[in-house]
Amino acid sequence: MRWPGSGLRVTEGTAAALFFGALALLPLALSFNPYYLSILVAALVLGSVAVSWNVLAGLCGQVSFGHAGFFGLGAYASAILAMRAGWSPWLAMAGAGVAGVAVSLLIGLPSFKLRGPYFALAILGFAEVLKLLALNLDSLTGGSQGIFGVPPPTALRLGGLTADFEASRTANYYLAGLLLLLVWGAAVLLRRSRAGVAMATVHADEEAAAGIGVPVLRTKATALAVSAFFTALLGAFYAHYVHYLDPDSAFDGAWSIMPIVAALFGGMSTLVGPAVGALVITGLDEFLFKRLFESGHQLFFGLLLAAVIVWAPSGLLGGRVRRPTT
Amino acid sequence: MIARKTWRLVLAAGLAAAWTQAGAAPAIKLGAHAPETGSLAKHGQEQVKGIRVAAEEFSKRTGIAVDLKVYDDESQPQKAVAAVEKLAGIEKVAGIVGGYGSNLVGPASEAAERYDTPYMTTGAVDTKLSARHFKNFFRLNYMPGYAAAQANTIRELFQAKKVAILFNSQSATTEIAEAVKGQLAAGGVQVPVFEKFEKGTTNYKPLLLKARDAGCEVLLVEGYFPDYVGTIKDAKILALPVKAYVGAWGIGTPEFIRELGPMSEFVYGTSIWEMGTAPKAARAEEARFVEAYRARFKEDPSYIAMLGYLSAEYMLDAIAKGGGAAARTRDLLRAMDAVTPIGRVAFDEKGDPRHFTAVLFQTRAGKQVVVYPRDRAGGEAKYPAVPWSTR
Repeated sequence: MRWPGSGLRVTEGTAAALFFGALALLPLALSFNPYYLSILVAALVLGSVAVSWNVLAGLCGQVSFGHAGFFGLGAYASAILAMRAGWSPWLAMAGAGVAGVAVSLLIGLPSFKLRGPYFALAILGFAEVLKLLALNLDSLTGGSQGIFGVPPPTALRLGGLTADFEASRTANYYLAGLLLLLVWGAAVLLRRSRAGVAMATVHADEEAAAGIGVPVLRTKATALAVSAFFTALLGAFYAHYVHYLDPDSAFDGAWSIMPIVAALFGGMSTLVGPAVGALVITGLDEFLFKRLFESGHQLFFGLLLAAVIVWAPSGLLGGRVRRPTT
Repeated sequence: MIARKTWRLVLAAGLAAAWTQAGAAPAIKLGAHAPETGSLAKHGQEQVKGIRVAAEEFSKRTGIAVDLKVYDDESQPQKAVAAVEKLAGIEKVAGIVGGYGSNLVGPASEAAERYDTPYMTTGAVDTKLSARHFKNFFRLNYMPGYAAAQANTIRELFQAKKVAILFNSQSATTEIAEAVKGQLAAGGVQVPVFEKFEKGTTNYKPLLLKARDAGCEVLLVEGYFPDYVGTIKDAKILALPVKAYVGAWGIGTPEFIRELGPMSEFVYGTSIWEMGTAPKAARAEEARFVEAYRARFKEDPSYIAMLGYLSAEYMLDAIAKGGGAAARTRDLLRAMDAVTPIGRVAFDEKGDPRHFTAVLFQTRAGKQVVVYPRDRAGGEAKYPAVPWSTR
């Protein structure tokens, strides 16, 4: 099956410019309505995690089923740094990203030495271990009771404008959009770098890459560290946005599964595709399927995903965006 | 001539319509959010069923139409916030009911406070929720009421001296375990065994042996269905010499009795409401709800459905009496004091229920016999229970 207009092909840069331009203008079109913006914030968080996940899977060919671990780790790290250590939420969010890198190296370096599906299995177990730690380190994490009152990022003042992240959905929307731009920009820079070329080589054929002198372990670890940094950063944003954390929601398996779904839907072969996929699936589910079926709406979503996998296996953007040569 | 006749007819119809519109009270917009999908879907769907019955019964009783707006929050905190943004911000509802789980109700009630919209939940028992002192926050049930049913029964009915508490590490079970421990300690009852276990635990024998070695008379298990099945089977294997086994939620259900057979006999559990447990003054209301629910859904209501029903009923009554202004609705809710199918309902200044107490029942011949509180009891507790070897 050919999608309508499938002859049209644009560069990744053009697709990204159109996408981010539309994101910038969307609140205007929606009259800054808080409900629509809160749905879009959820979509942007998912989109950013999907792009982060795709740095590891799409660029380096290493599939993770445990990104919920990095997401929850970042959420807890930032909340604890802000509430217990008294850090500014902004600094705490950056600290959460660093924590994500540290833990990713701890788990990645030993598991990447193994061949086959061991990395995917190890990271799945790692996410569960982190959830159990959050459940049992009561004095630090509040245990199963969770943490109430995680502070929002402190307000920013630019000239006469104030971005109040406590109450304003618009401020949170643009912050989530900037985070997505940051993740995407970092992924683009990474792909263009020597490390990115090494990742593409490892993705294509790991043994051949090792044969021509590509440091396979270091390359995989770099991809995982970048992916973990941004996933943890988004987890931190989530904690400061929702103001509440508990192990079930921070380490929810959906944070492992939905980024994969969004990436498949949008197209794993592109860097902007997973973000587009996240917005499309969130939007369709919320504004179309949910209105048709109050409690059975996710059935449509599953059918749609199956249709895309069968008839457009490279995703919505996969066949339309020209990848740059590396 | 024909045109004049037609014009007269149109005018008459218009006047009639205008008169009807002027005479009818405007519809009340009520918002509800619940996890109808996701991990909490089963509870959310039952809650919404109860809310729907309340809206229909309210319309029948008062003649005021209810425009019920239901939003599925998908068991996700972000979507729970979006639910309130939609219900309060777009739909402009006069009040919101529903919400299940403290992780969803926490952020949702914060958003409701921002919109100055009265919010009543029945599915979040964390004590920290009301510690925020939101003026729009109300709930029908909370943790100390569950804990009181267990602790008071152990102190007053059983007069036990030593109790073992085993609890699942999940949020609600941890909190009830800690609350009961505190209430027992305040009443002079020792808790020498206080052990947490993880979800998915299958071997409870080491924990049960600790209870045996400490000479505990009562075993309290704060958990969920698989935890009860595991602990009861292991207690039978060990012939654990406790005089009573008390659980939190989900005891005595048909599934529980089917799974454990004779082992389910004499086990105690807590509930907010089961059919026939309403205080005398509220029996008629209980019967009305059960009848309406059965007629609508062809099944018996659960306590979650009952809570959903009551929350919507109180919110609708307050909105109707107060004219829909948030401040007036809040004042009326705060002033209410009624005997209901779940006992006496009145709210304190934080929105917590002043008199909420769960009921404690014992499973006897496959039926649930309420033994506490006394005014809702349907029989006497069989204490000590018969040894495990005979069941």
